[in-house]
Amino acid sequence: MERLAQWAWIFGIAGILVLGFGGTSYFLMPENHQQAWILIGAGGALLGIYAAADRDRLSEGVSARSTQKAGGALTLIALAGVLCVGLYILAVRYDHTWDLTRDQAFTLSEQSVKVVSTSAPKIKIYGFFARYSPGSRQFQNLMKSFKQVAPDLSVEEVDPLRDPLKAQEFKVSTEWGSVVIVQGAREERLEDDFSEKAFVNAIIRLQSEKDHRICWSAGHGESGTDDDETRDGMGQLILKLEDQNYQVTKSLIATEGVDPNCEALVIAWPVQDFFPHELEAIAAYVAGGGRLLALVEPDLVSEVPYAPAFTQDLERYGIHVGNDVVLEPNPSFVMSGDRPFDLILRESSFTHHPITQGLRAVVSMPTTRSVTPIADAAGIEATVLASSTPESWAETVVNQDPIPDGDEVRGPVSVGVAVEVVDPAVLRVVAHEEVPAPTDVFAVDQPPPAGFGVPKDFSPKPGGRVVVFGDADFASNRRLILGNNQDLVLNTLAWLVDEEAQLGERADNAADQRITLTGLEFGVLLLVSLLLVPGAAALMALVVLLRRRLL
Amino acid sequence: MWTIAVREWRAYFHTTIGWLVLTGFLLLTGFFWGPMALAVYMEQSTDLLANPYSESLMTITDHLLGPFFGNLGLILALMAPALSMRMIAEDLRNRTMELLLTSPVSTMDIVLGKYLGTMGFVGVVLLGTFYVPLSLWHWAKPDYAAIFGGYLALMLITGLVIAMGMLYSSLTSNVIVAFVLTFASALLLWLVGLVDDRMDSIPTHLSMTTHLDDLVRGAIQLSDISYYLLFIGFFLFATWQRVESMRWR
Repeated sequence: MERLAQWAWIFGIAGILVLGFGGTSYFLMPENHQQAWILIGAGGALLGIYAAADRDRLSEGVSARSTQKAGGALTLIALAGVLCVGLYILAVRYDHTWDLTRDQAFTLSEQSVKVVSTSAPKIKIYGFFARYSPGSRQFQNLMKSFKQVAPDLSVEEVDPLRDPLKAQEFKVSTEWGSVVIVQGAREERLEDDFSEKAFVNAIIRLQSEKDHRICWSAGHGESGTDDDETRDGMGQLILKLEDQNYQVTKSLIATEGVDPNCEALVIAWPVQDFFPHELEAIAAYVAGGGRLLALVEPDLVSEVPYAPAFTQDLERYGIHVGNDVVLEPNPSFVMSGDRPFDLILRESSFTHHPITQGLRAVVSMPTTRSVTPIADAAGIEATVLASSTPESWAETVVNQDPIPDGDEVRGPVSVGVAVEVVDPAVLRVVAHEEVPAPTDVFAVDQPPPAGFGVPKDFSPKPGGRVVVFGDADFASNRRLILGNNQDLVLNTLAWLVDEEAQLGERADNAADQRITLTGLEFGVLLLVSLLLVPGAAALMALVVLLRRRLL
Repeated sequence: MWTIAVREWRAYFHTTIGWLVLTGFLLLTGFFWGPMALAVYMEQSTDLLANPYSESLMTITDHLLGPFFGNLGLILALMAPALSMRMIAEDLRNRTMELLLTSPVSTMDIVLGKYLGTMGFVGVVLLGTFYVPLSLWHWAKPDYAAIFGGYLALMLITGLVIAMGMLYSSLTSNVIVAFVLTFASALLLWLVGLVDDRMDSIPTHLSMTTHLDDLVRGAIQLSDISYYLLFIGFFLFATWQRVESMRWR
């Protein structure tokens, strides 16, 4: 027995080593915990043998005063360790981010917070990323932000190489990153873009039971929905809409009327005018609870007026579109001081309305005509969405040196109005009129009667909504990406189709920041960073060395 | 405590090793800033300018300051052991520890004084890199938050490694052993995230790099700050207990 006690330390050291191996393999090989537990058990057993074999010396050591004190100190250190781990777990659980960045790059957009917090209990996010795949960190950071606003959000990160069955279950074939967002039986996938915007759009698509159908009026020279390249096209807006849960279809009102299944009708920058039966078709659609967005452009300098009957007809919805252009002398509210017509709308320009909520950046409207609610219009609730400053006015005559004349509308000039139709009777939709199918409805000299545009089964009901902006190209390809332009038009459509969760300022890409240095500047920088600064420290090292040698 | 801190701080400037550490660090900083980070950033951003199909834009925070402070953090984490190795081990070897322990200062004052003195030296080291934000402010418009976060991250990383090194330094009178142990542990804490980089894995939580990413981009997360401060607090507490034990041994 004495001999065993003499060599018991070997069991002790072996026990510690095996225990160490067990603990290490537990962390390093999470897929094989069984092996780790065997090692931990074996290590414990070896330590037990050591304790049993050398119990006399151990008890002697334990009873020593210094051992007791050391034991006390070790216990305190262990308790401090446990306390630190506990506090860290709490910090992770109730994590908070202080975003000090200029652009609030780590703060979720208002829309993202709304979408994620409302949908969190219903969805589960699976991130399939192989170890060290590039999108993994972006995914993790975003999920961290999402969990801060929605702690109940369920997120699972899966390594498709380590868990191929799970990857197979979700039909994930790439190891370079794939995200599947699941809600019940429905799912949305992200393959390349793991940005905040991509996630939120995917969740929006998932949340919507169906796509919102938007009908885009065509046939009057409206901005092209297929054109996503030229400056005046609106194809970029269509792409953004389709990226969310909108389905955009062209609508030829003259021949097809307005499909009652359209959740919103968009008439963007019409140039040629509408026939009376088209105007009645639109009115019947709105009077039946339909939603209309009209983007009209000033036509003071154009050779022919832009769709004058259409703009005139907007008065039946309680909206007057002025034959003018808004001029803004306040330099803070124009893009450039020598372009008083190139308006900028700031937070102070907007009134409180779901469409304008959360618009904190600027909206750029290159040329704008006045759009004002008609006072005391019965059966209609109108809200001014945005106005120019009190110094501005609506100029009706274009000349070199414009000044506000007596009869011109003085600022603040309303440039956007939202209307809710409470009483559809005030729209005075004419009765349906049956006529033989015209051979050519576009013949100006023989237009069909106005009643032709009203559906046979038309039945008025309240709830129609109309939004008119006195500018169209703020939503064009060239301007859409500026400031809050896309938010204004997307918010408007979201409000028109009752998609409250989509309202708010949207996440966007960071701004570009390039640095250009001349060869000389770069040379100076190298001189400072590689020679002067470290050289000064090296010189001081030499001085200290010499001084010590001399002393 | 402050007397010890100032004495410790001044000691670095009276030794060649202090200035050599500073020289080495500044030389590496210069290399990582000029020829590496800035040159690569300028080249890539120019390439991007010529690429009409490129959608992602380069930002100074994400593509210049982030990687730069990340590299600097690694250099500091691996250089800090050279500062911490002698903090207590040298006193043990020179038998000056007894003098300190019998002087009318508490153990906590000794530990905190030495720690703050060394951190003061780290502050001077980082001050030597201030030409980086100054040059950036001259040529571009960086986000101040990223610069503040970057320097905060560097202080926290170094603070952690020095607190850890101080504990090792109190466990041995051999400065080389203290250096090797601190260096290995710092490297382990830096690389442990590579073992399993899933967001909720233990190695991810243990890794220094995980808690660095957002900080160097200007976002201060409670979990990141807690990680560094709790580690520092734990190592200082353990060192305090260790030095305290020298009184009753």
